[in-house]
Order: sequence, then C-alpha cells, then structure tokens
Amino acid sequence: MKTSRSNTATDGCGSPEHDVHRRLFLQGYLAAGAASIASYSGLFSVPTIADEVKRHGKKCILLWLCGAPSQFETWDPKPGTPTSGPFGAISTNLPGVKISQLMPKCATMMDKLAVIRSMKTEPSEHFQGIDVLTRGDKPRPPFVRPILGSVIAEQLGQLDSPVPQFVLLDPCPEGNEFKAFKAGNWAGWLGAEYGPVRAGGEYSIPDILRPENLTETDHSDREALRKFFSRKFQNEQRSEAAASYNAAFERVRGLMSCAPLFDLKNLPEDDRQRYGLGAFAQHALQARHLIENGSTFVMVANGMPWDNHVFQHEMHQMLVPELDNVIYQLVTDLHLRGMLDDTLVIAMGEFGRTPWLNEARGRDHYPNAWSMAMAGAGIKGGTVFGATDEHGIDVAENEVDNRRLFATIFRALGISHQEEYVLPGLPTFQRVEGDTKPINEILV
Amino acid sequence: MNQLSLNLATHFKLPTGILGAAVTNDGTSLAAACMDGVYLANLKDKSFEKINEHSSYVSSAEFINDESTIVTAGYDGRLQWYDLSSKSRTRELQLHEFWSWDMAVSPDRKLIASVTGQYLAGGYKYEPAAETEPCVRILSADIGKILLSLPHVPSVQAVAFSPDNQFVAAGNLMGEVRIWNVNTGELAASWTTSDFTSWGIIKSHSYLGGIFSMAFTPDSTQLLLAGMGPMNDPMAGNGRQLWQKWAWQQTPPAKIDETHKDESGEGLMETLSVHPDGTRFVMGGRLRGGDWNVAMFELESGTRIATLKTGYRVTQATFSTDGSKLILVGTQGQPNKSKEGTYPKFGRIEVYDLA
Amino acid sequence: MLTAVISPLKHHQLLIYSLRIAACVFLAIGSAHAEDDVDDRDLTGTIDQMLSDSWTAAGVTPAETCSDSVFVRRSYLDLVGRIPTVQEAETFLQDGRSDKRAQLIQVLTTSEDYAQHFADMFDALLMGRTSQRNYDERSKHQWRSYLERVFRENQSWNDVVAEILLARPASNDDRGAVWFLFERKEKHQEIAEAVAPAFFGIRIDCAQCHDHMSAHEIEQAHYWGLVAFFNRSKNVHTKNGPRISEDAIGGFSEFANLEGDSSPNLLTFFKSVTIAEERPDKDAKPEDKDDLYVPAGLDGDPRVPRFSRREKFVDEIVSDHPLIARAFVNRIWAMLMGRGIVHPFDEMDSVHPPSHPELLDLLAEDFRKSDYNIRRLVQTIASTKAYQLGSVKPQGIDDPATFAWYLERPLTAEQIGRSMQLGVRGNFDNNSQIVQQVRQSIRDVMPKENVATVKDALFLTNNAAVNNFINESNDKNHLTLRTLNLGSPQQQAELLFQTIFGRQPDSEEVETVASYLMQNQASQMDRIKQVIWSLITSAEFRFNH
Repeated sequence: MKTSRSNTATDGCGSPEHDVHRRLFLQGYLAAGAASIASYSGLFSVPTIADEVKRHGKKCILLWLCGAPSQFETWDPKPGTPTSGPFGAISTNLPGVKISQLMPKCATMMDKLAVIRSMKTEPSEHFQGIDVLTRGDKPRPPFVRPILGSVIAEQLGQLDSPVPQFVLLDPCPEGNEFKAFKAGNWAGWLGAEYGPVRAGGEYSIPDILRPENLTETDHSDREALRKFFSRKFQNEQRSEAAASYNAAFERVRGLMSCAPLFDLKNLPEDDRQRYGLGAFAQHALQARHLIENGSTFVMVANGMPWDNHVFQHEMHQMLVPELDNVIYQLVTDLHLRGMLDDTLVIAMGEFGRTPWLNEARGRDHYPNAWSMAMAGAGIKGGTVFGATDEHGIDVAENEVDNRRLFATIFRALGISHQEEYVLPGLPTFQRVEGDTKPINEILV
Repeated sequence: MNQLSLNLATHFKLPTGILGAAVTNDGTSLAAACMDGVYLANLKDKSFEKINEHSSYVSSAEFINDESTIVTAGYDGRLQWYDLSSKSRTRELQLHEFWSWDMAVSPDRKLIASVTGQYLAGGYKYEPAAETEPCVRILSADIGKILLSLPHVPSVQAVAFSPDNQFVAAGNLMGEVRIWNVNTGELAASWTTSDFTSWGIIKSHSYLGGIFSMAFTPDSTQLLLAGMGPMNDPMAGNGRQLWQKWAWQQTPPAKIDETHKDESGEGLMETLSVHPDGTRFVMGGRLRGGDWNVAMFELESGTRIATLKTGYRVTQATFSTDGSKLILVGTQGQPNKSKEGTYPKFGRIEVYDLA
Repeated sequence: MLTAVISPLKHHQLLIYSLRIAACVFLAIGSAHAEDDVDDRDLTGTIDQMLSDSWTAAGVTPAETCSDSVFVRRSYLDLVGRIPTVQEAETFLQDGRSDKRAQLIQVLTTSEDYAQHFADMFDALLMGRTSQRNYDERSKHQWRSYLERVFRENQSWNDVVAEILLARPASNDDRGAVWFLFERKEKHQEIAEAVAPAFFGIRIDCAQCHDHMSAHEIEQAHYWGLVAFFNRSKNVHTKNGPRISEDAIGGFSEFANLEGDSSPNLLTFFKSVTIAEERPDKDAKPEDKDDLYVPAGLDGDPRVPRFSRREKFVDEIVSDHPLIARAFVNRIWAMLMGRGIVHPFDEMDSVHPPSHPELLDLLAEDFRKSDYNIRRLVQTIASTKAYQLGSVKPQGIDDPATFAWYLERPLTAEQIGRSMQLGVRGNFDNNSQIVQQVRQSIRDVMPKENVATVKDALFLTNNAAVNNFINESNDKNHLTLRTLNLGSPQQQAELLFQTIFGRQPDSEEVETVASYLMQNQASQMDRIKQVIWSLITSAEFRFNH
C-alpha cells in the first residue's frame, strides 16, 4: 500500500522516501488513463499490509464552482465603475472591506474567511483551467498529476474508515469540458485507489443497499456463514489472497452502514432548509455530513453552472446567493461543531470572468485577475490578500498563481508542498513545482 | 423574403448599453434607460444628455404627463419621475427589493406597472422559490400610489397593458402568464407555456429563459409573447427566435400561432411591439444563429415580412406614433479597452423609415 | 478433421466425460500439428529439473504434491475454465491408472471447453473487458469464433499473430481476425499500445514522449515506428463485412522528445530491423495513384498497396520475432503457474528480468521448434511437478517467483459464472446472463497482485445478479431442491460441499450447516439458499488453489 509521506518541508536527497515516491510515481504513470472517477473501486482496496501511519485528522471541502464565477459579483465588486455590473457592494464585518450585495451572509462572517483577490493564472479555457486549478499545475506529459482530493486522501485519509475518503458530489452527468474532465484520470500517479467515489443525484455507490428480497437477518446470517467457511480456508491455506478477500467483505457492512450518508433524505430537514434546496446546497450539506462521519475530502459541484457567457446577471442573481448561504452555513456549522480548525473549506472555480459584458449580456473567461476564498484549517480568517486595479482589469498587488495557491492549501493542511518526486533521466520535481512559497499572510 | 423595406435613416451611439427606451409622439425625443443612467436624446440632431441616474442599471423609461415627465425603473428596484421642464427628479419610490425587470405605462397614461422577482433556488432542480415580495405592482402614474400588489412566481420579466386599459399581463421565467383586471385586481387568465424556458442538461441543472417581452393585439383579445425556444444548454443562448400569439380569453387560453417554421434563427428575443396601424408587429433581440435579429411580421397571418441584421443586441423596438418609423435601441458588447480612461460608446440607437 | 469430431460436443451443454472413452477418442485424433521430434516428457522433466535445481540453490523446500481432489478441481479450472461436476471428479478419483493426471490433462486440453476457456482468456488479454454491446459485436463479427477455432484447432501462434496483424483474411471464414484492429477504430496509437503487450509482452505506452525511463532499450522510435505500421490503415465496411484497408501514401511525421528534438517516424520496432521506405520531402504532396495498389485476393475486399506497411511489419518484424514466442510462453506459464517467469507477464523489459532465464529460453525455443504449438505448451506445463504442488505456502519461503508452491489465483468472471451455474444448476451456458453480469463487474484477468476490492464484495453480496441467480434456481434438478429432499443435515452439508467445493465437509462444517438449517424448519429452502450463497462467495470457491 502507498503509505509514504513526509511531514517536513525539506527531504534531503537519498532519503528512502524517494524510492517509495518513485515507485508511486511509476505506478500511477503506467496506470495512466485507468483511474477515472468511474473507477471508485480502488479506494476500498484492502491492503494486505496494514497501514500504520498516523493521520493528521485534517479534512477538506472543495466547493468547486465549475464554469468560473464572476469576481465582480462575489469577492471583488467594483461599484460605480463601468465594469461593475448591476449589483452593488455592501460593507462587511471587516472594516473597509466590501463584497457583492449578493453575499449578505458572508459579509457578516468575513472574520472567518480569507479572500484572495489577486488570482492570476494562465489557462483561459475550461478544460485546461480545471486541470490547473484542481491538480495545481499544468500537465507535464506523460505524467498525470493527481487531483487535489486524491493527494489529500492519500496524505490524510483514514484508510481503515468505512466511509469513502474522497467523494465527489455532482449530480450533473454532463457539463461539457467538466464532463470530459470527469472522464479522465483523477488520481494520476497515486493510483486508482485514491480516485473519488461519485455520488449525488442518480450517482451512488453500486450495490450498497441490501437486496429487497433478503431480510436483514438472512443477510447477516449468510455473511456469518460465509465468514466462517472463508476464514477457515484462509487459516488452513495461510492464504494472503483469501485474507484480502475476507477483509474486503469485512468492509461491506461498514460501507452499507454509511449508505444513509449518501441519501439526502436522511439529512435533518432543518439543515436542508437552512442550506437551501438547490442541488449544490444540498450536497454541500451532505459534504459536511460526510466529513463529520469520516470522509477526508469532499468536492461539491453541480455540472458547470457558472459559465455565464449569456445571462451573466440573470444566473448570478441565483447562484451567488446560494453560494453565499452555503459558505455561511458550512463555515458556521463547522465552527459550532468545533471542526473548523481541522477542516479547510475552499470555494473557487477555474478562473474569473471579464470585466466587460459581451453582447449576449454575459461575462467571458478571464484568468488575468480573479478571486477565491478559503476558511478553516490553517487559514487566518479576516484576511483579504491581494487587490485588483480600479476596474478589475489586472492584479494590482500580491499576484497569486495556481502554484502559490496550492502551496498555501497544502501548508494549511500540514502537507509538504515541496515533497520531491525523483525519476531517473527526468528532472526532479516537487509536489508544487518551482520555488513556490505559500501565502504566509493568510496562514495561521 | 422581405416584402417590406426598412431604410436606415438615423443612427448614433450613447455611452453605455441601452436597455429600454420611449419616444415622444412627434418622434423627435428618445428617453433611454441606460446602464449608467437616463439619457434624453434628440433623434434629429443626435444630441443627447444624461438627465438622471439610478444606483444600478436603468431598465425601462416611459413618458407620462403629456410627455413632460419621464418615469424610469431600474435594477435598484426604484421608480423615478423626472420632470423635463424643471429638470429635476420630482418623485421616487423604492418599489421592489430586487430589480424592476420591466415597466409599462397604460395607453391612457394613468397607470404604471412594474415587475420584479429574484430567481432563487426553491428545489433540488432549481425550481424557482416562491416570491418574497409581490412580483407585480400597479401604481398611479401621477403620484406613484401603489394601487395593486399582485402575486406571481419570480422572476417576472415582462409586463404589458391591454390597449383598452383594462388588463395587465405579466410573464415569468417559467413561461407562466398571468393577466389581471387592473380595476379589480382580479385574475382574468393564467397559463404556462414551456416553450420559452430551458432547464439545463448540459452545463447546469437550473432554469433559464422565460418570457422577455409581451404585447396585446389592438383589440386586446390576444397576447403576443417573445423570448427564445428551449435549449439543452441554456448557456449556449441558441434557442429559436420565438414569438407566440395566444387567445387569452378562451378557456383555457389557446395558442393561435408562433414564429413560422423556417422563419426563425437563434437568439434571445427581448422586445416586441405592435405597429400603430394594427396590422404588423416587430420583434427584436440578439442574433446567435441565422440571418436576422429584428423582424417584422404580419399580425394576422404571422408571416415574416421584413428582417434586419443590426450587428448589436436590440433591447427595445418601437414605432413612432404616426407609424412611419421603426426605432431600435440596444447595446453592443462592452468595449474592453479604454482610451485614456474612457471607454468607447456602446449603446446603439437606430431609426428606420418604413417604406 | 478435429473440428468434425469435436463440434457435436456443444459447449453450452454440460459434458460429463467418461474418461476412458474420451481419452480413446482424443488420442486417436491426435493434434493439428505434425508430430515433432521433441519429446514432451523430456521437456516436462527438464523444466522440473531446472526448478528443482533452483530450489536446491536457494535452499528452498517446495510444497508437497497436491492431492487428487485438489488436482481435479485445479486442472478443470485452469484448463477448461470451470469446476468439475461431482461425477467428473469422482470418475477421476476412482481412476486407478498411474498416469491418470496426464490422461486428464490430455482429455481436458482436447475438449471444447478448453477452446472456450482459452478464447475467454485471450479475448480478455488481447481485447480487454468491454460492454455487453461490444461483446455482442465481437461475436457478430466472428472474433469470438475465430479465437475459439485457434484453440480448438490448435493453430500455430505465429500464424495467428500474423493473421491478426495483417488483418487480410484469406477467406471469409477467417474474417474474425480483423476485429483486433477494427474494434480500435483507427486509433493508431491505441493499436500500437495494444499490439506491444498482446504479442510482444512489452508495454511501450510510456515511450510515447521519451525513451522508456527505466527500460532504456524501449525507445521512443519504437513507439512511433509501431504506430507508423498501422497509421495508413482505415476501417472500411465491405460487402464481406468489416475490413482494414491501407493507403499507399501518407503516414509520415516527426515525433519530439521531452527536450524538443524531433525525429522521423521510421518503420522500426523493438529489437528489430528498420524497414526501408522512401520518405517524401516535407512539403511534397504525393499523389494516391491506382498503380500503387494491387487488387485484393478476395473479391470485395479493399485493394492492397504494393508497399504495405502492415505486410512489411508482419513479414519482416513479427514473423519469428524472438519476443513472440517468449511473450507467449511466459503468458501461458503465468496462466498456469499464477505468475510469469517475467512478472508482470506483459512487461518483459530489462526492468523486469526473468526469475528463471534459462527456463524461459528453453520454453521459448521449444515453442518455436514445435511451430508454436499451443496445446503442447499447455500440456507440458500442466504436466510438471511444479504445477501439481500443493497451494499452501511452505514455511520460510516468501518469494512467489520460486514457484515452490501452487500460487492461488482468483477465478475470472467466466470461471465464476460457469462454475456457479454448474454448482447450483448442474449445467452451464457460456453466454448466460450470469456470466455476462459477473463479467461486467469482476473484470480482472490475471491481475498483477491479488488485491480484493470492496466493490467486488459488494457486488457478490448485494447485486441482484448473484442473488436472483440463486433465488431462481428452483428446478428439481437444481442444488437447492436436491439438498432439501435429503434426509439429514449431514447429508445436506455433504451434498453442498461436494458440489461446490469438490470435497467433503469436516465435522465442524457439517455442524455449522446443520445448526443453521435446523434453526428453522419452516424456512429450510431459504436457508439452503443462504448456505449456497455463503459457499460460492467464500474464498475457497473464489480462488483456484
């Protein structure tokens, strides 16, 4: 099983860690293409060797705002300027900081959030943007970088938990470029076991429910019989394969027991109303529920709703208030439950949107200057990092690219962003490439 | 085939996009509802001045009080009365918590109707949540007294009075039309057409579209609706350029006609007006696919008789009172480069002679 | 002649062999291969000697030879892809001949079930798992029957490889051979990435962008060379069915390595020659003229270029390429022994040296000499003492590459589906719904590591496929009712164990079954079904051992 991790930022060369990394790397590399999110089996693979590494206990929820929201209608309004759009700005509980009027709830809890207003990234098309903002960097063929959730599941996941460690909640089967992306290799060189389990809408873990024509008693009786015969065989044969096989069955009931976690109907009705009834809000609540019950990384998406090339304001009038409420409820809940210090909440898309409106009353793709927000584990609330110019056309100070963002995310979760992968005949590179420094200003 | 020729007589630009407009009876002055305020433009000499502002986009403008007052509605949810002689704002009212999507004045100039409603998620599939304020308000034009507050489902995007001044119609995101008697507030008809609304399959599971403009026929018995047809990917904006004509007094209301097959391209239609002679109407909006974004149709037969390709999104098409001119306003895409701090103008005004 | 004899034995019927009769019949028909001068027993003996020497050298004591009851289950599963029936097992156990294991191997490898099982295996290995719709396509376009015939008629593997890669059937009867290329829909890189492991036992995927980073002998030029052999090929639909046409022009490009240096895609491959071909100037636009082609041998088939890259590949590179034999013997070794002499079996590069190099050389050399005689190879390996060792790992040995015990392995979906039918219903259909359903869920064939997944466990536990199959097995000849009609729990347990595990239950097991069945007499039938489920989902059934 892949258990390597290092908690120090600087691994000297020649460390035995490197060998393991290399092995990891090669494995994922050779298995490239095999680990799309359709393949969730691996996450539950039962290792024949016990994983003894202690886990950090940190967790992460990514509110994946796919399609790319407008910074003007969220974190970086420009009231009274030609690029403002029709929505105004409101004051927040941080003196001098205003956000869009569409986010009245977040305005009351800016002391818990860190907002970066100076994101500047390269790709201006969705697929490439999604790649860079979910994996942390551009592709470097032939290697497939693992997606953020896979890295975190591998680094922080509880492998003995019955609950899937990396869950993607997205009810939308389509999603244009995001659909194509979803069909790709998510876990990359970490291997399929770190790919996500997908749920939401029609998606669920296959065969997680007891067959209707079987009583609970019969179901457990026959498993007891199976276990008896199968264990006997395992013992008599001293069989490792049978041990792994039996261990897999040991997890069936655990996994079945977490089936209710995947059923929205089981979420408290008050909470469901409080989060909002749209799919995104419901799945954000489900994400909280999964995290509370043992998942390590939950990514919440709803297709690619933010790509408002037409009807920008008509769509954002609905999407932003939903997001505002979701962030507010999620961060508040985590805080009240004492989980915020260990749970990182990230809300972002793959880029921002143009300062100017197109003829179709839309805003187009804009990676040059955009915003995102985080809260929770390792993050210093009440910080606004970076700024754009008067009309939001360019970053005016403290530019942040995808590498710096990922270094910050990893640091916030206590994962080394400088961990190195070494391969013969190829340049060494780190988990976050380049001599990248996290944004200390927004880290605790 | 164009059976009618439209000749461009005048065209000029305003600094920002124009979302709505009204023209005086003599056909010389145009009140423009712009992204940055209210403009008064002279169609003869192309001069213009900004006379008023809202705190957001201005969405509609109308003349009242023998054209001595311009009443405007905006995305700030406010109505404002501007007196042209005193050049001052004489009245204002925070009418809605959300945008005024559309505002209309009754033909006798006595009533104002304004519609609002924020589309918020009300269900797993993003069915619109119920209204939190009345979506339709009827006011007296002179003193702005709210006469009726009428319920609808957000977002209510289009409103129109009947020529006989007896009815007001309002259409929403979901294609639901409600018609009330303006004297009693009684619901006179309601129905839903799903032909203007898209539920996103491709990019998003939410609703988009709806009815963007409406107009009664001269005898007040039929109602014309405008918008665009459903799309798998609402964000493609490529629905069919669509109008429908409904006999709303029938029980249940019946669709009489709609854009004829092979006479529509793709793109959102957001304005529709009936010609003063009562035999024709114009519909306009955006060209996404096909070869026109403004077209005239025979009212009776529904046959398309003229098309225009303006090269910009038309937000309002209206006729001069004498019926000799077609006035279009609209907006181009917002310029992305400023020259020494000012952006090129992108609001468009065009006047066509009807031959 | 062989076909004529075998064909009446329809594979979807249960065949209860009478060992003696079957042996006579099959011994009489012989093999499609001419008798060769190499003595099989000598080869088997040599293999055993080599392994024995390696054990001595490593100080390893191998497991004891397995019992007959273990052997009969094992060999049926490995050679014909299913468990034996109670009668088949009994016949074998009662057989008094000293060479009865060799006799059984002979019978099994000349049966129709052998052709079916090996067709299953090679379909999965050459084509990969796919949707039921694609399986139907493979059948419809005779890929499946082509594979069956390869093993039924014991065709020379060298010829088979050539037929598949040339994909120009000499007669319409052979048209299934084109499906290997056709199903890959002109995706030429995908074709190259499939050809290399399927026939050469190497993976070249990673050489797309640079020379292989650890197996240095696999160069980027090999990747793009292999692609070039196929990049003039196109899928066409002819009156004879799907065919692969080939252009006489085009297909020249340059590939760039990670440093950005580019090289031409010459016609070459791993450990082989570079085939001369005139390269037009970069800007030249060669004309596609009729005189660059000759008509196809078969009326209605696409014309053939005079200079055919596929033909060059097959004639000058594939034919007798040393890796063709090595890859094949290594794969059959892996199938029967649970692990390749090179492991993984499809990565025969310098990073993965053989555990027994001389043994691999010997097998490959013998395979070539025997004109790539597949059945002979299978029989030889199955006859070794090593194949017949017990499956319990002896204390003190950890390295599976010693082959000092029989390595347990999970059944494939087809083995499970067939064996379930046989156990629960007493007969089987290779294409039954349960086979199709299990195949969609349990996809691994010869996995690199035996790692069970919870997904499979969930499938076996909760999916309707297995549950319905057991529930609907209500015929009086089916195991449930046969068990129900027995007088004592002891007898019931014995029937269940004998049928599903091929052995008698011990007292503890009898007691467990008995106490469960006795708990509630009213629900006997249901309870028997739960016991059946517990047996077919237990590790003893799930693995060959």
